[in-house]
Amino acid sequence: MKLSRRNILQYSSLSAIGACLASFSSSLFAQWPTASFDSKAFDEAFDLVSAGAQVSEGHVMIDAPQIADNGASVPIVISTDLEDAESISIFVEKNPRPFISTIYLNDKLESSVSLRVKMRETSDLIALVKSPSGQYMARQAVKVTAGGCA
Amino acid sequence: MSKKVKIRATLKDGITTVKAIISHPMETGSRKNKETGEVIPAHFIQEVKVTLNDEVVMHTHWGTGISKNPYLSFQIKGGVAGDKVVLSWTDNLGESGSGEAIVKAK
Repeated sequence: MKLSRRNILQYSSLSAIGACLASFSSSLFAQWPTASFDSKAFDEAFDLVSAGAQVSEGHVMIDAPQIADNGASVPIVISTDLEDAESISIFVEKNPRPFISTIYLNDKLESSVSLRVKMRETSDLIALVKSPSGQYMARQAVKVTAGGCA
Repeated sequence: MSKKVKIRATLKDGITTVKAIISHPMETGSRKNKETGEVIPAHFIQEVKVTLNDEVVMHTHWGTGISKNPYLSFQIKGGVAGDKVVLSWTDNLGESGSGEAIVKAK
């Protein structure tokens, strides 16, 4: 498995977040987006998560293997160079449920997160970052030689 | 079923790196038991929160596409040796778990 050293990105503070950090009450956080996670088509899931807004290329990086031996566990690193990014969402286009995860960013967090995802077959990985200046995406193809039960 | 969280937090150059592995089946709900043909019900983590000294520093929502025994790694700006990092998760069946680590300087 390849683990690259992440860039330490300049990252300025988001206002308003601080107020809710002290509390552990889930009511202050976004609810689990059921419709997006249940969606079985990539286009539908992507539209739900991006709320149909215009999405440009760039500002979000995917570090994933070009060939994955084991689709049940594909290591990925998602990062953004936007200083005011609010969240990063991850999709696997050809999975039965393409929407994988949303990570909510804050000013305490370096904007890079590592996870392992399931990929049923060779597919594009898509990352979507939301920020006050707009939404941005990137995609990377991953060839899967043995599919995971996604 | 044992659902443990292995978690480690190391401080280097002013950045605390957290690495965690959660023991969890992450069943999608579409797999079948090969012998009985019965569908194995979905059972997966939906939400993970990590705090540094009781302040939430990581919040994420997961679907069924996260791998079994999920791995999560990220970096926090700041932190000092001795700080407490706590990861807690909840799944779609209402189960939950947590694990904690003390930040160690590298």
